[in-house]
Amino acid sequence: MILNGEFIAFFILSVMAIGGAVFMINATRVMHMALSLAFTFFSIAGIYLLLNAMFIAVIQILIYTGAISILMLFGIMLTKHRDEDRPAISTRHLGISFGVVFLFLGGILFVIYQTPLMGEGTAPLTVQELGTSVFKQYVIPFELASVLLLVALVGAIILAKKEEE
Amino acid sequence: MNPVLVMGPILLLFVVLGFVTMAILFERKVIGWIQMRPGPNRVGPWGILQTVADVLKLLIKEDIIPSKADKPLFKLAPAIAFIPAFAVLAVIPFTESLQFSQFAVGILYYLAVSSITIIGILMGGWASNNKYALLGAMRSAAQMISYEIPLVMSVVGIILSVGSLNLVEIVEAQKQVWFIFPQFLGFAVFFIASLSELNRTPFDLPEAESELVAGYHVEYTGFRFAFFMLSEYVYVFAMASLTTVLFLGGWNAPFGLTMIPGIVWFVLKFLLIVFSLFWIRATMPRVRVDQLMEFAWKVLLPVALFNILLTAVLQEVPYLDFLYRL
Amino acid sequence: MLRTEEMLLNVGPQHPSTHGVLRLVVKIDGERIVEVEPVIGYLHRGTEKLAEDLNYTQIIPYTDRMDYLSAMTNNYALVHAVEKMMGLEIPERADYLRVIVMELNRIASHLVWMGTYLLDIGAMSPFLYAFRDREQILSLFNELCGARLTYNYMRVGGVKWDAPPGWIEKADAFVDYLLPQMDEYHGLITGNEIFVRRTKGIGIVSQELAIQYALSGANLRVSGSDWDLRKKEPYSLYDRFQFDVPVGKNGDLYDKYLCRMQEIVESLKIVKQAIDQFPEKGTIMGKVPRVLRVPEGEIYTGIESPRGELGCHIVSKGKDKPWRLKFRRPSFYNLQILPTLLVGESISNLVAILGGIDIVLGEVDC
Repeated sequence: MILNGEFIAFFILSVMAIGGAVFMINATRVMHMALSLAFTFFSIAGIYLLLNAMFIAVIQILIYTGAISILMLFGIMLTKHRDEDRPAISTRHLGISFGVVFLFLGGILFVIYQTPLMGEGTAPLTVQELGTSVFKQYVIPFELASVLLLVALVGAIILAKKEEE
Repeated sequence: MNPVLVMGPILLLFVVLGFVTMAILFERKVIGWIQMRPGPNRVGPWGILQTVADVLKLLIKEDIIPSKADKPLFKLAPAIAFIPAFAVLAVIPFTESLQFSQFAVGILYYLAVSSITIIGILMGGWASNNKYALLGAMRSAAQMISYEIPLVMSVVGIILSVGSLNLVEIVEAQKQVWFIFPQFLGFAVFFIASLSELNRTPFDLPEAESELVAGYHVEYTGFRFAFFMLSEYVYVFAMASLTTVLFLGGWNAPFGLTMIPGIVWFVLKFLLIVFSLFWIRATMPRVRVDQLMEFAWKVLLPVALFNILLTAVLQEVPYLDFLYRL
Repeated sequence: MLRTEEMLLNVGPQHPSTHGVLRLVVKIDGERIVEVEPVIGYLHRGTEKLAEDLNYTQIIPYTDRMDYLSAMTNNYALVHAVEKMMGLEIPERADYLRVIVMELNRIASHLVWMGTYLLDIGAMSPFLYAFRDREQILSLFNELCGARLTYNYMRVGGVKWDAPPGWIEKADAFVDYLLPQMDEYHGLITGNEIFVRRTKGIGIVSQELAIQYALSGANLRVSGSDWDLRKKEPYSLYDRFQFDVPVGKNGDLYDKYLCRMQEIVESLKIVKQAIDQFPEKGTIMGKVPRVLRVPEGEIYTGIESPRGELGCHIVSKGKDKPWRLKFRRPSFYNLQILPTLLVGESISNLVAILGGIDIVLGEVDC
């Protein structure tokens, strides 16, 4: 491993991302949690940038840091919330959680090591190429994802309507 | 490391600070003239040091943090609001040579990074633990998010025409015709949405002094307050630059007057935009918050979408396609 | 609708848009107003009680400080009641001067309203234009009586000072200046889409509601009633002038604005006619006993102030001081409708509706 600028940047960004996530879990006030989450999103955008995926990095900031975090902050501000102590978690519960988390981690690592990664020196993907592949090669998953989002939207409206009654 | 690359941004920071100083003075002078009064004229000749004196006053003020405030967030918020304002300047090309980063997705970078400021505003409003501040922050955030969408949509026409998100390529595509002409709808939407993004009259609801006293920064004093103000004016600088780049041809000279250097043209166009911001401020009343939202979603967004459609259609029309396919 | 938390918002007494020291305790649900409770009395000086220890001439400066935007009409409300009770004859020249200053004061007051109202809804420039024009009226008053706000000009039986040479011509020139100036205001404000959208259909007062709440002035006329005491119960010389009473159709804020703007024009017409009829010579003080002893009895007289019916109720026991003095201050009565108008509205309409009522806190608290 060579200690170059990229590595240092990656190191700092990773610490930021993980630190944000840890803060998010440990913070007591909901507002702090949401802000830590936004921080994590932002750091991940930095990592995308390191990977030469500028478009994804910018979109990550635009959607996650910009829109989703703010939506969460909004939700927090508009609703009633008390900073109450969380009930103690039983040991059995804790054990199961850790087991599931470890399984998930193992699964992810397995997938990562199975996937062939592009070697160094590949040209960064331009926006045009990205667009063509999304709208030609992956058009069906793309459309399915939009339908899924639409369903979620309609569902949210229906749930909100129900609450009114 | 390239010394220009290190010194450039520092130099730019000073240019921006100088601009902010002069812009505030200019704004007060212009509005003063429109309202038939002299404007600031006490500090220095022609009141030229008025802003300097104001900033000095803010700097030596007592730094008050409300006792019920969330202290770390309260302190952090002005910085989070300001840093993106300066960071967006990195992608703006001022002339062919005077530019910092040839970022491939320049426009998107601007729009994405500028949205981080909203977090700073929300943070400040929430951390102040004050109802007016909270209301002001929520209004501000809701407004900026809503207007970001028409803002993004209005430039899609340009992106379609140029086929690039790079701001330098966009300027170069305007050698013949500035985009304000073929993309007039886009320009109108962009300009209105940018007024709103900048929280300026008639969309200055977050700071509606007659309703909310001051909005999200009521509890701020001293240089923390100065930071909020600073970020607002840096955004004026950035947004005026972006408008110049996108719609007014950047450094391109009109009527073939190329003997005047590009930077002069850029500054002139830029000042025109800045002046119109001040002009509008002196003329318009403020819109109401629900009308503001309605306007963004029911008027600006459909118009912006129509503009995209129009651009796509006109690309296929003979004799006109040269305007839309560059 | 999402369920939201109700929040108590305290607007004022140091809020820039409450036009003085009005405090509103507003309960809001999101941006919607659920309940409003106006808290008044921050400017209470006990004028009515103080007046019981003062003779009638001494009360006049106190009336200046009630509605400080139109002190001339306040002066007149008191002296008119006293004169009526004593059955005094007023010299014609004094009466004309009174009408001119009262109407000029009405214009000044409406200009302040227009400027501050536009300031409330976010436009800065009309305020300064309005004050530029009001300044000329204040200069005229300054020349006439040496004061710009609290004039102490009228006396029982006449006025204190005669018009200095050239004053009438200056007033005439001002009328000629302001009439075309009104077009400038209309050009700047009336057609502005944002202004129209912020005022049209907002804060509607029906005629029935207005009468129930005893509203007067433009607040009543906006709902379609043409109640103007200058026409209905003419006092002073108002039966000698030709003027219209502008009425609104919809009872909303936009009509209120148009009404008041038109009232400025009508007032200008009255001033013009008064200047034309102004007697060349004559005294300005009628025959008045040295000590003003008002005969025993009671009287109520109402006059049309810029804000509505300004009443003066005197109970006299035959002494040189009133036994009881009561002013019917239009701002106080007009303010009462505020909670009714505001409930259910958006918080962003609060300032617009409050501003539309046109209150002067000095008069509300008295």
